[in-house]
Amino acid sequence: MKINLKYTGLILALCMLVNCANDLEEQPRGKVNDPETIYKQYANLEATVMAMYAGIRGDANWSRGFATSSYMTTMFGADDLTTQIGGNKGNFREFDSFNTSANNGAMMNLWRGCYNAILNANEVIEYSYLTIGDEAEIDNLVGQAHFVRAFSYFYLVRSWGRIPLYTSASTVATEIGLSEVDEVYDVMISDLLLAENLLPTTQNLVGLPSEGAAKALLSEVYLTQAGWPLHIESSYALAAQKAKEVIDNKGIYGYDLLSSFDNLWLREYDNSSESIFSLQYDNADGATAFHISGKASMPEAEENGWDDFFVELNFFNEFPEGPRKDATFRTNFLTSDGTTVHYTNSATKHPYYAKFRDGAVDESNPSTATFFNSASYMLFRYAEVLLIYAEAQTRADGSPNVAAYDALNQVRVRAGLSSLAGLSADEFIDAVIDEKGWELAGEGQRWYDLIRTEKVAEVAANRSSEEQVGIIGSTESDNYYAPIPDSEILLNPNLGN
Amino acid sequence: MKKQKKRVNSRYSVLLFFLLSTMFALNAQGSGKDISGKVVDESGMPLPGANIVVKDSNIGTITDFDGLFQLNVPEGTEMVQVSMVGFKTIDVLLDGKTQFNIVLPEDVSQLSEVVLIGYGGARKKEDLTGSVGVLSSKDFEDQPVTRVEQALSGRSAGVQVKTNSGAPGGNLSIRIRGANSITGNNQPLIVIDGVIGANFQLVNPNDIESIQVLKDASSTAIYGSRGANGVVIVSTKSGRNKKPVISFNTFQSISTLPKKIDYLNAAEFAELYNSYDRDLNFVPGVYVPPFSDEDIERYENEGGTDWQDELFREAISKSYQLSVGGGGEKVNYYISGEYLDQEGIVVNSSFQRYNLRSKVEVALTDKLDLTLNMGWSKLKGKNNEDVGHQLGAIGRLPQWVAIEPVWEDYGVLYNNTPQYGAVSGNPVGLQYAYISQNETSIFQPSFNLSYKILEGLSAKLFGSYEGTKTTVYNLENNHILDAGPEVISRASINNIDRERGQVNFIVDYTKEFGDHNIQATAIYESGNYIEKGNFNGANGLNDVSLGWNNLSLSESQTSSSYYYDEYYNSLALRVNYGYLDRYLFTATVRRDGVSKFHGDNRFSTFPSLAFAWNAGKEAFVQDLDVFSSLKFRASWGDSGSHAIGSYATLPYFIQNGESNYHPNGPGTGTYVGLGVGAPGNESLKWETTTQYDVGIEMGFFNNRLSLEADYYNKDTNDLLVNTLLPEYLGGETVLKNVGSINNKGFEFTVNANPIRNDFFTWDVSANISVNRNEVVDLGGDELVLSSALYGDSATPITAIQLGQPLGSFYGYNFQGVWKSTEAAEAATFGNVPGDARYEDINNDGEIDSEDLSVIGNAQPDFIFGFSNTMKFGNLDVSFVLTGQKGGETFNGIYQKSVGLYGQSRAFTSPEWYNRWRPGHEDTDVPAFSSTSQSYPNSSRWLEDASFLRIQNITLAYNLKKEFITDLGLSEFQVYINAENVHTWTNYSGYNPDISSAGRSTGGGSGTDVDQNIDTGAYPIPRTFTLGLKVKF
Repeated sequence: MKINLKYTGLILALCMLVNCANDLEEQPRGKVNDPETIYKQYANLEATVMAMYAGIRGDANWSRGFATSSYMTTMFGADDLTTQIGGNKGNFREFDSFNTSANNGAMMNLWRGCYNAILNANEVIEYSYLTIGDEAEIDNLVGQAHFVRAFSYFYLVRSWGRIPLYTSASTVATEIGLSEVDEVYDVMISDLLLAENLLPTTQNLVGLPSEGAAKALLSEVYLTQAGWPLHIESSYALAAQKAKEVIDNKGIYGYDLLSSFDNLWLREYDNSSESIFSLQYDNADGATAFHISGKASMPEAEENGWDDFFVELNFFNEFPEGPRKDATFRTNFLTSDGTTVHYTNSATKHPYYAKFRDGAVDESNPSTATFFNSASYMLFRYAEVLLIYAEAQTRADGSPNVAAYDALNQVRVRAGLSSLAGLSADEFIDAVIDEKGWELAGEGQRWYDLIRTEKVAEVAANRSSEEQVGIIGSTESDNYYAPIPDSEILLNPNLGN
Repeated sequence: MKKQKKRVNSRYSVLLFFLLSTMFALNAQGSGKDISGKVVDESGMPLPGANIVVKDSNIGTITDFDGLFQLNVPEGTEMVQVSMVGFKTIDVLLDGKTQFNIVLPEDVSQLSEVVLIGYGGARKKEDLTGSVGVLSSKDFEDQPVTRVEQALSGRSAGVQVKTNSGAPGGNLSIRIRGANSITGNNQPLIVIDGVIGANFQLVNPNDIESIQVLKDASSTAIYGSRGANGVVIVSTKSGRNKKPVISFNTFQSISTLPKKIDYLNAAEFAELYNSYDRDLNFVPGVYVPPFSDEDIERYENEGGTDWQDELFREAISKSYQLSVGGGGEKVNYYISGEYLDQEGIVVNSSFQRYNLRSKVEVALTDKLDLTLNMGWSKLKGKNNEDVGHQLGAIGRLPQWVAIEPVWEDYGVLYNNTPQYGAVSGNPVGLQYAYISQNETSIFQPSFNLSYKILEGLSAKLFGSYEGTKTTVYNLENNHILDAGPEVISRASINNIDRERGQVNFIVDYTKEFGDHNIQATAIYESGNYIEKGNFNGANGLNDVSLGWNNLSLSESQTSSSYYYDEYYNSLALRVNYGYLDRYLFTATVRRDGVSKFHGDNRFSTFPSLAFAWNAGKEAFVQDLDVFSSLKFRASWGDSGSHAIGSYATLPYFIQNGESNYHPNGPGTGTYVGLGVGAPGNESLKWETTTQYDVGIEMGFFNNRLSLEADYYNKDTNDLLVNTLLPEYLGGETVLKNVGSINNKGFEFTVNANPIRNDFFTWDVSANISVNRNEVVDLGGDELVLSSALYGDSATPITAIQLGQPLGSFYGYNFQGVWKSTEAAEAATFGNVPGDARYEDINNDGEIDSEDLSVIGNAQPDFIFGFSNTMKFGNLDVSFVLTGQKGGETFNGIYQKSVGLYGQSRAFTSPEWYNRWRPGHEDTDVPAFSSTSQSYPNSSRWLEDASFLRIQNITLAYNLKKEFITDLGLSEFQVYINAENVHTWTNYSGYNPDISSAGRSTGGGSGTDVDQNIDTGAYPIPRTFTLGLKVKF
């Protein structure tokens, strides 16, 4: 009897275990985890599109995206960018002196930001077929994903050359190697051709790319594909054609030059008609403010700035005088004790960029400037489309036509310069490249034009002997690309080949 | 639905229990004769709480406050047994007498001490087959410990207690026999009065009766999938005496920073910075140094800011504790309360704890006992938890030069982007502008019903609940750090609600027949854990003075919530068998099912076996007349670790502020982002640790000298590792079961009692532990990088490498500077003489990822503890020494003081005086040079972490009994104590054994991959205490 009861107890306990064992199935209540379920909801697909933009926009931790001057790290070899000789600017200096290293932490900003956008864009493209909703709205999201994926690969392929390339969300590409540059261009072009079809002519939300943006970016991709390193010269005509489509339909897309160059840099003109694609920064969310504003291009000794980036002396000296030059550079610094110091007497003896100050700097007392603000940061603007057309048409046809002159001169006239006429094809092309350098100075584009046209050595040879950062490494095409980051090779050794 | 089913099950067990109880409720009343008397110790002092039991029966009583007892014994009783913890058990022949004066001799060896082995089981120390460390309250009662962990420090072999943070209420870690897991936190399982997974903060150390540390697999396997890191079993005090004993303890202490680091003062900085500027920027003719001679002279006179004096302070702490314990024949009770108020040595940091505990034991019938336990705790911390990381005040301090002021104006902090300091974060400002206040309340009731079914057979039903509510308030008052229209302040409230439930049904069977002794325990256990949280945040507070109390009055608000649950079911059996009290066997087996895993991977079985031979009881050993006791032990077993949270097998997405976007431009609505995280892994399973242990215990000179030595070897397989995806795939982590870790080591403990007489007793105890940790398999990989980043390094400074222990540092090997004679070789690296030189491991003329290697390790060669207690009459003197030999610490604050990288635009370290320059080339400190690389991940920042510390010294004076008995007191003690008195070490930071790892801000994981990383960890203060203990 006694023993029986003991056993009964044990058996009962065993039964309880069997009973409860069924309870061990996980049913997460608050967590999303299955893409095939969550992307049935339109709002979730849209949320991943937002995360895609957030990827390139980047964060305030100097780790990802275009939020800080670190995104320009791989572009410091150009003559529109130089940096302080000491302090904590070692990462920028490496590229400025053509002495790059694979453990440069700052270059990871561009890498991480672009790849984060690609990761999310792949998800949107792959799972959008499940989404229930208005077809045009879904197409718009998918079009944006194609645009952003191409945009991101474009920065990566120009900075690093051979890169890891993947377009699928469901297979995890942990062991892929580096893809050739031409394969990356194929993906970008196919993405942009799709984006062109999927995107609406105008967007309700000002920060999103439209059909015009896809055409504009495609024209630049073709232009670059026609130059170094692929030299597919037939693409010049395609570049000209796409740029022309944008110019001819600027009314439909709502694009135009702002009448005054200096307005471009004021917060009230954020997302103006000149903006084709801008990243939207908002300080209210803490991590999402724009950190190129304010201190990054302000002199440390005079205005309590950071000396992150400023202009090389010869680039400044050759920059044609006029309202554009005045709006681009700051040559007099106001110290906190009220004295004005001309850049020639300043600690670094360089002018600084004036483009990124509004909303971060109190001009009556610049030393109190913040290092971040809310702004939209133009990564593609209409002036560039005009200059792409001018160059591509000339290269494709052998000489500039009337429309090419018109495009170039629109930019020059606004800058307060005279119109050009009667140039040879080579003279015209040089004039366009110079113009583009001046127009977009400090905006992270000059370097890519210099490598595309293989002008790096020529420009570097022109570097003033008064520049503090000298040239250590090769300025030839063997040294155009940044090294694949060490930290990535450590995780995927296939990237080391 | 499923929840309900579970509730029904527990109801069944209750039902079953009562069924059993009613069926077997027998009456055991009888008439006999009354005996009475007094129990005293060898010095004649009455012993309250001694047990007097009629041999081989359950008839007995305990002595009252005056040592008196009265007992009705059945006719024919010949003998009673008298016992008490800390004393030898004796048999008293009645011999027809009714009045007794019994003297209990003290048991020096404590071999008869009862050791808790889990789930209500207890064994005499001499009958143990496993390796268990035991601490009784006597060991630490003279010390003003505020944390249970402190009591363990240095006192138990194989146990490493690390004060990662010196913040009040801060982070402490315990490792038993090394770290098994890469992903798991490696903290031992804490069991307090039967409640599994309890929180030490719930217990005031003064309420503790005993602590046992279960170390080998035979001891821990009964806890199955949660036992792999060892188990710490704590039992709290119970009331014993008829007359209530009231005790009151209080102390006041003062804490200070034990050591200041040497930084440049203002004038020194200005001069050195001139040298730096000149070395980099000198142009003949026009050069003007940044600081003029007048500036320097002014700094000389004014002195500048001593940031350490500004950030650290003398901190005052106080504690009040009151307890009352007592009881009668049927009921015992113990109730205690505590209030602890601690200031931190960093300004604006503090901690308060309120504790209430009650234990009521009721003998409902002769066979049915009920224990009700209730613990309640309220913890309030301010800037004490998530501090000590590289972006916090202490981490920022070495970047701030002495010429920068703290305050810009009265009440306005100096701008957070000074000219020569860090990019942001005035250290004093951070401490005032960023307020993190956490409030936790823990409520933990439990009950235990135990029913004696038959002689030797009993059943127990145990149930517990633990509710922990935490609220973290955060305020980021950027307005006092920075001016301007774009500056916005933020606040948030984060609520976390955790609930843990546990039900046990335990059947115990004990039987002696002839020379055989058997004790068997069958356990059913079911438990759950549910965590719910919500977060409410506001950006752009309209009025920062409202803090977090009016979140809606702001530009924008965010909120989020989450839910998390896990369940487990277990069945376990433990059998202890003894033959002739000499040959002891233990076997356990446990089967666990846990919801965290998928499919069949949810279930696992954990067996163990142990054998001990009490050779000291063999006649031939006794004939030797050498050993007063001698025991050999051997054990083997498996235990496990979940190491991960729920839903870890599933893919995940990222939802946070950094994934959100404003597609319609700045200042417009926020669109929520849902970012791709990482794919899931359905094949995850438990980590399993298999451990072998052999031990020997020896006693000499009537056990006045005892030695215990253990050797163990444990293999942990199927390690759960968070593997990092490359950045091109998002840089997030994926969990995998890869590889194995081995820990093996020796533990050696000596206890001695050289002198014991009426006036002077002297106890010494020393222990030393050697643990060798090695990663023996990484699933085919040679190297897995840590997922955490420190010290502004883009590549992790820690890594898991095959053949190396956990806690390996990874980076470049710093080799000093390029010499003038090496100019040509230096040039191939883009360097000039005087630049930092790193080892080019693969000799390819470039310093790149191929030159990264394991450059050091945090694991010590051995750790040791030494405690010494002397009692001269009424005066007690005791001290504890702790230390370690070997191991390294990453000195991130030294790195930041050298500066000129990352966010450090200048430097504060006087080491620059010793830099390379022409004429001073015999140095390892690089020159001021724009081509010199200062890699954050290099061996330059590793320092030897060996130390010897006087952990504490206590001097206690007990007022003589004759003075205090008149006042109605039984004890009156005054003591002074010094904690962290002195540390001998070559480490140049504050403490070699603190770590910033595991802070949620500023990067860092809480795993043992990242150890000894000091990027501004909270220094351990030196504390002087004056205390008083009174017992009524």
